[in-house]
Amino acid sequence: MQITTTISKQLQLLTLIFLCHTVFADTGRVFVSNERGDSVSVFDGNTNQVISTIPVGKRPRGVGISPDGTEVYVAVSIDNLIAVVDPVKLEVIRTFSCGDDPEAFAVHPNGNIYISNEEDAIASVYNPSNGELIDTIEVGLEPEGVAISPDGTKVAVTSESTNLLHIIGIPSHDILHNVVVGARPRSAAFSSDSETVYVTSEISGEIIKINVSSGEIQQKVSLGDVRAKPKDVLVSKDGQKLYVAGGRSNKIFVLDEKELKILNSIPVGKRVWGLALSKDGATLYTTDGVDHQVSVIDTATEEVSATVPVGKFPWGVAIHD
Amino acid sequence: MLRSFTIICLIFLLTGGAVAKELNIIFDGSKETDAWLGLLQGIKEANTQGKFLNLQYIIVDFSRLADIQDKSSTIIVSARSARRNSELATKYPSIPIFSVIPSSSVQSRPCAKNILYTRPSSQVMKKVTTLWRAEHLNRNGHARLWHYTFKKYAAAQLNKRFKKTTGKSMSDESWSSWAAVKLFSDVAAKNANPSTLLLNPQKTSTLAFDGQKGVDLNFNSELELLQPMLIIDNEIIVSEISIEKINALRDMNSHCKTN
Repeated sequence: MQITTTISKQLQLLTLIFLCHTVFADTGRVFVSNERGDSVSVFDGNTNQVISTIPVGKRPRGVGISPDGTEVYVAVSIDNLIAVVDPVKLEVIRTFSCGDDPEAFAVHPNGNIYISNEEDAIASVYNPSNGELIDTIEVGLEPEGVAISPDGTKVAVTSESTNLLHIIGIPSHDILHNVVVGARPRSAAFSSDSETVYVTSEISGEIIKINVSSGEIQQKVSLGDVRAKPKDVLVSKDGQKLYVAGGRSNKIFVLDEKELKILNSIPVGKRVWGLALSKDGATLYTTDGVDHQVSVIDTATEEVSATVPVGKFPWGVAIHD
Repeated sequence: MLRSFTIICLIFLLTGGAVAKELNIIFDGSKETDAWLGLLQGIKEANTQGKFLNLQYIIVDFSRLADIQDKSSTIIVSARSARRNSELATKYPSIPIFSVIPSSSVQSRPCAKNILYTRPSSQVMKKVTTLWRAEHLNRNGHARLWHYTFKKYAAAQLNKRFKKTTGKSMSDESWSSWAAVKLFSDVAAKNANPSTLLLNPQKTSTLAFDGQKGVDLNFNSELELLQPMLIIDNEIIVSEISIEKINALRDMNSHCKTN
């Protein structure tokens, strides 16, 4: 009798693990917000075939994935909300209000979302499971880029119109440093050791490397192309390179992390803004807004291996992997 | 007395001892103008930045101009005539004066190294209009610096902020005045003596001034802000004219070179 109960419990546990795996397994799907399509395009990262186009509301921009992979978040700017998408069923399962004009956001390892609210000049912190506003942080005008350090102790927010990068402590939410950077900073990314943050400045065409502890600028480089209005920046898996979306230069710039030297530029589609890197670092996805497509780049060869037509003016991209 | 002093010291210590550096902005013109409204918007935004950098932008009454000690942190925004600007420029050579009223032509401007023009001359505006109409027959578009329906390059956000503050739509004049303060605050955020740097704007490589027009804006040898223009037809933006295209139309034979 006791043996039967034990076996039954083990079976239940195995079933639960199987179900969890089935439900929460990474799908390898790529989620792309279409700013003027009011939708999210979803394509299979293996086949590069579009699986679904999900209506989410007006002017979707930032996209992110929950730490456990069970939810995809989309900032719907005009509707002032976050749409929560089921990555398996590919449908909006709920929404919650999140202040005026949410644009970019980052997901903390604890699950909370840090959002830049462009019109309110604040960054707000939400618990996406219940939509609760946890805190607001006053920042400069037109906040946009949000990045969370891998160790979860800092959040970096760029203020486009005040040319500032704010380095903010977590969980205190005190501003630790206000760093004056080039004109119109748009995006930020941390190094894997959380000690360095990289910022792109769109109008000055610069990439800036900042020491997180001191808030001091260590290096900066101009992309040297008048059409290069850099937007997203990402650090390669091995930490040796930076990938920078070059805006209307229609290129991805590959920079050496140490010296910020330009190593290569990869031609992609028109007005490239959004970037996402696969967990293994082998594939880089770019949103080419004016061409309504995503370019898929093999980071080993630094060449475009495929392009995927998506909705109108793709903006953000996230990989469910 | 001792008690008051102690309280002041206590406040000083509690605030971290940080006293914001004051930067002076003087307006020379009527407060009934769009130039005044643009200036107010510019100062509001400058102070939003300033609170993170321990800087405070204040409006100093024109009558107190002679009393200002720190001329290296002072600008004048002028909505007055060329003659008035010329007099001011001579009297206060170390203060940058931003002229936000268009001169009829580059030649009509006074020769002064400390007057900066955030608006092109009326002559250039007319030339841009003529060029566009020649390429678009039977259309009545005209050149403007700004328009309240402009959305690209975060112009929509600026238009919205201006409307919220003033209740009015942003015009060429209010943009020009806002731009003068924005430029001042952009320079002050990076430099201790912003006015000194603004006296040599072409030599200030760090300027990269963002006027929310999608490109970095800088000054030419005539101390005129180079900027893209819009063509407006029936209150609709029908075209954007690049800096390069406008430069080709400029009268380069000015009588008054500043460098």
